[in-house]
Amino acid sequence: MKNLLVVLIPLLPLLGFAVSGLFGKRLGKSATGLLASGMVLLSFLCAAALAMLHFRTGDSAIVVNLFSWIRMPGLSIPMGLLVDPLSLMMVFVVTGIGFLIHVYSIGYMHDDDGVARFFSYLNLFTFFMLVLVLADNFAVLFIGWEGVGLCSYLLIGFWFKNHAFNGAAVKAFVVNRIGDAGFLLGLFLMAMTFGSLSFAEVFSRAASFGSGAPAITLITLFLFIGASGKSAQIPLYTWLPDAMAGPTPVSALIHAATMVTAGVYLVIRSNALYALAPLTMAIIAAVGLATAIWAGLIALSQRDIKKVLAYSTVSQLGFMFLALGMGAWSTGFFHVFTHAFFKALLFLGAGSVIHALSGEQDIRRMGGLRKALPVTYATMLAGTLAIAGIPPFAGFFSKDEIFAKVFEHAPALWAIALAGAFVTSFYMFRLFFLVFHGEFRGDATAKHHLHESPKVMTAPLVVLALGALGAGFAGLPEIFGAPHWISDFLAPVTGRGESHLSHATEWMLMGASVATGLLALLFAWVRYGVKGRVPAEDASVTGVARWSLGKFFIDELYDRAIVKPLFRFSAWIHDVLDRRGLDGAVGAIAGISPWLGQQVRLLQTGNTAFYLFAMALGVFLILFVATLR
Amino acid sequence: MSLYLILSILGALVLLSSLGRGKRLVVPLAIAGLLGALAVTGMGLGLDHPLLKGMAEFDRYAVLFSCLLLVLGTLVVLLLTNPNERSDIPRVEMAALLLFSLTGGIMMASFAHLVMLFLGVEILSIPLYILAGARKRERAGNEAALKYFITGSFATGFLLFGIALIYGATGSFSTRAIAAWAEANPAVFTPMFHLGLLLMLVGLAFKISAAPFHFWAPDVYEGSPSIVTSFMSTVVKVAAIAAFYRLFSEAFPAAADAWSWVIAAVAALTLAVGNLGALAQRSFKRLMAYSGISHAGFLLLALLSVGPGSAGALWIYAAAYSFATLIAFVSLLAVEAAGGGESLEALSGLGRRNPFLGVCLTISMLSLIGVPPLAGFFGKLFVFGNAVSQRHVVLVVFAVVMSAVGMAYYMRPIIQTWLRPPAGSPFQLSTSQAWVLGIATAFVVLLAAAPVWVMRFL
Repeated sequence: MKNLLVVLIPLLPLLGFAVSGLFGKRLGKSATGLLASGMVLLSFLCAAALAMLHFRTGDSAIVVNLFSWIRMPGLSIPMGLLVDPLSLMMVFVVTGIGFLIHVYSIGYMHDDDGVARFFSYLNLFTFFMLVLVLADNFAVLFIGWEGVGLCSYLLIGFWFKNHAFNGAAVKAFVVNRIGDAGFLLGLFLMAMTFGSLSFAEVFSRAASFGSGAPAITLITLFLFIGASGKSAQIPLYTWLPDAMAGPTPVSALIHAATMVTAGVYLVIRSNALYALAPLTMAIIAAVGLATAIWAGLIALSQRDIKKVLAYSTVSQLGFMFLALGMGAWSTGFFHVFTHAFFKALLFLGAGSVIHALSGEQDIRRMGGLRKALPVTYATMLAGTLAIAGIPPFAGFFSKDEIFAKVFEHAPALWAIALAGAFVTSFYMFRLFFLVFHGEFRGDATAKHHLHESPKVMTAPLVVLALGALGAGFAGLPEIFGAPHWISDFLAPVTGRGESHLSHATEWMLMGASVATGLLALLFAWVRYGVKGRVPAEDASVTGVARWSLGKFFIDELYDRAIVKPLFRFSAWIHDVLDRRGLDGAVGAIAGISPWLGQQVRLLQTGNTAFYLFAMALGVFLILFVATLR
Repeated sequence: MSLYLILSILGALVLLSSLGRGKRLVVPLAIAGLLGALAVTGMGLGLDHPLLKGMAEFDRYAVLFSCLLLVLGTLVVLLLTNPNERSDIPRVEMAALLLFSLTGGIMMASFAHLVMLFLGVEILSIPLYILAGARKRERAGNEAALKYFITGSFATGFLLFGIALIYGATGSFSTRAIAAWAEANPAVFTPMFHLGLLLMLVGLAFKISAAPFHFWAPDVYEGSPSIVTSFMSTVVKVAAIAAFYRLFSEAFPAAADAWSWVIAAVAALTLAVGNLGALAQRSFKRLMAYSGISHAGFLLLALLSVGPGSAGALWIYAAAYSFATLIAFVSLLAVEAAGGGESLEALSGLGRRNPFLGVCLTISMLSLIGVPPLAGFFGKLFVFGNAVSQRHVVLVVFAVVMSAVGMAYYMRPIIQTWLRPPAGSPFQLSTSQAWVLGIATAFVVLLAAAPVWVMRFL
């Protein structure tokens, strides 16, 4: 029964993919949407049933081995699924938030011709994401990893008739390949070192290596390269903002709530390895913090509503990695959990705004939408308060916990992170006030057209807003005296973190972060709410702001330093090595093969006597050589 | 024994049913019987019990190959029901002959005695000589039948002479006794034993159409009705390689030095002839004939590396090859029925004329190339892997180069199917063709999940 439930969790969305992919056109738009959403809901319910049946009894994990997938001497890899507290929580996030986004998409994609294709991809994505989180070894995890990547490219390029969007899909593909190469190297090294890829075996065998063993440091570094590709960390973050070319529900599901957190999940899952690699941990913390600040600075002056949110996702992922770098596994996961709610909410709200403006994404053409879109306004406010870390919204609790852990390890980093939190709060409220307050800045037709989104879109917003309000209570700080539910639940996987801070310090930290958030809110309010400032046209931006607007010209740097030289190198290879060298050789072989083929064909005379003669000759030759030997 | 009996009686019943008005029942009867036989075999009834006083034995190897042969046989018989097929073929007699031939094939997979091997080869072949000329008014068919008969008899002569010499040398027909004798007298391989061994090898090499004993194959394949060709290139090839492997791994493992170099040379020559020959073909049917030759070369590689896992590798390769080949022949049958010929051009635009067929054919060709994750890839992976572990590195490199050549000609049907304008209007597959295509394609795709299971079963 339990095993069946475990298998059903990923299988149902796969079924949905098959049905809507094959028969979607025949089913019609609304039926396809309902079917796809229903499958995700069913798999959420399976997970819920599993939680009821199993985890109340106190056991910590279920392993289901479907079949033996690869078996070679020295390495055997089963197609195994693992349900433990960590994967179960991820399943809840993926299917729960996934379901809401599916429902929202029914409204959002209503006028699109490719609805069936869209939902089939979305279901396929859910399937692979579930494989990723349910995998019980690194190889199966890698299947999911590649699968979600594939779906992500398919969905970024969903409107494939637009060439720029294809470019974004290709960029996501290439950048992710770099990360995946790292991941694969890590897997090979792991298979060589431990002779296994199963979580349980790798982690137990790793324990016999001491802390800081070179093999483990190398493996964890490679895995982190993979993680930073998927989770858009420096230097591999550039693909995520471009990925916003996809439909907004895709941005919400894949590029905010679930897929991009796969890298964080990977590190949490392998915490037993990372705990043995202090060097890697330091690098993760540094990269995470740098990304958090860097992306926040870029977000400050973006004009595209989705780009702001994209950079904010990159920045929030940075905070998650910062927590992981401190060894605070459950804290990192807590932020994944709350972030999934409020970032999905923000994206879907942005989608609702874009929907109301018939596709406009530039915040300079928005403003004053509060009255026309009351539900979107209220829910977006909840999301913004959550990400800015204003209590009692979800982001406050998870971010505060991260900051406490950072302070415990390195107060200097804490100060930088606090500056990051200020930036976050500022750019989010800048966005919020520019979109919803002040006067409408679009043209008259757009103004006339303004409308609140249909219920099928606003209902998920409301549910997510409740999540953004309430998700934080799953992990109340210790000083509140309530149990930290998330960290207790994850304890079998992540171990239990101990806090050494005194209560007074914790209150102080909490006060500092709340004050920072509120201060930023105030600044943004004065600047964009009261004074009604609007971002200037591109040409008139100078100084530091120009750098921020230009995303620090990292794309251009990559283009000059890597892409163009590579193309030039490739052209050189093509000219010199390929055309003059290899082509000659291959050409000779290719030329000779058909000639030989003709000779073989000519032997085939149709004359039976010749055939018999040839056979006899063959026998004679064999016997002749046999006597010589 | 039960399996031999079931199939022979089934064949006789099919013939009898044609006397009355039961003609329509022939194929359903044959299919039902075959499925029954498959169930009996698949359940492993009588597993490992010596039959006929030790002349045959249904061990795991035999069961696995028998199942494959029965599935393939069932699919080919199913094709006989196709109403689009030209009416000048005697369906009843063909069904019966196919069943008899299949019986021979199963004997070849389960023999433990050289007489049973010989009987199997002959029971397999004689119905085929007739089947090749099933269209008795067609000159090409007559020529194919006669050519097949003459060259086949010639090869049988070698086989029989080889068996006689082996008996003379060892005093036994039983594969176990022969193996024991070879084990006991490692130093004194008498010329008689040696000669017998090589002559048997030649006889069986003919049956799998390995070079230089392959000349009959393109002509016979082309001249026979396509249904018969599909049977020859799947059931016959699988039965022959099963017998080949069974004989050499059970009777002659101790004498490996005496035969492995011959197999290596024959395999290399076969790979070259099959792949290079296929390049020059303009007819899809002949292309598939050469493809059959080239895969005989790959199959011989498995024979070359007898050891743990090699039987499984052989089975996977044989299954992957034969299901993909069956798809190709169903495509050919469907295109012929829709008015096209046997040339590659007849396939052009197939993807638009019948998308399902186009997709199946593409999967089949990709599997024959060895593209992962299709069955053909795993076949090549295991066969090459085994061969490398037995230090046949040069041969494997050559085989890899030859499979790259293979890509050149297997891509041609795919290109015709998808990138050329349609050669005719869209057409429908008959129900039986659609079923055969679906089942065979499912095998090509799903066998990728089977390797571990097969290896464990053996």
